[in-house]
Amino acid sequence: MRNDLSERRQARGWSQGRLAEELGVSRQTVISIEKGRFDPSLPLAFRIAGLFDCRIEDVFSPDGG
Amino acid sequence: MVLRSVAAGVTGLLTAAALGLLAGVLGEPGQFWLRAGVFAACTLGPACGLGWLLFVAGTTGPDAVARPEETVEQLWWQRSAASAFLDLLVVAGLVLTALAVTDLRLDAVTVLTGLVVLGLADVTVRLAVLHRREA
Repeated sequence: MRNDLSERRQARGWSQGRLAEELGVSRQTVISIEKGRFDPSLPLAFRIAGLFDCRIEDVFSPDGG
Repeated sequence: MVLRSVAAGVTGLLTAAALGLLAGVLGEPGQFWLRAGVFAACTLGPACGLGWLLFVAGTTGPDAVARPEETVEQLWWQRSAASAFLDLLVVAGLVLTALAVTDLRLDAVTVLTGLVVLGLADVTVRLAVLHRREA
């Protein structure tokens, strides 16, 4: 899946480590999600959406979509 | 955490010493110290691993993440372990077939040691490759 997590994170001035701490995951996980190499679980996707006050589909979109 | 690490180390030392003593007692007379020393030295690493499993593995340090089950590292571990398991099954099957066809007889210790080493090396390499590819 593609996502705009990196843009949203940078808009808040957060580091990858800060975002990882907010989400309760490792920094490597945030890096992999931002690169589109790791699809987060549904609970983690919901936490990401909740953290940025938006819907999951606002952050993530299918590769072919 | 420091106390747990010390407990793990002590457990490893005691376990290795006990195994060494057992091997010395059960071995041929006159080779007690040789067998005890070699067995203690060879089992020290795995014994410390056992101590780590008992006292450290189930705990978390100050830098631990809140949800380790949702991390990419957990995915890497699951992929590596599952693939290594399949590799072991394939290798064991091939070796078994070869032994059956050739009617060779191998020492069980040799075969099991090979399988354990292969499994550990397989998981280690797969984890390293995944980490390097993703990092």
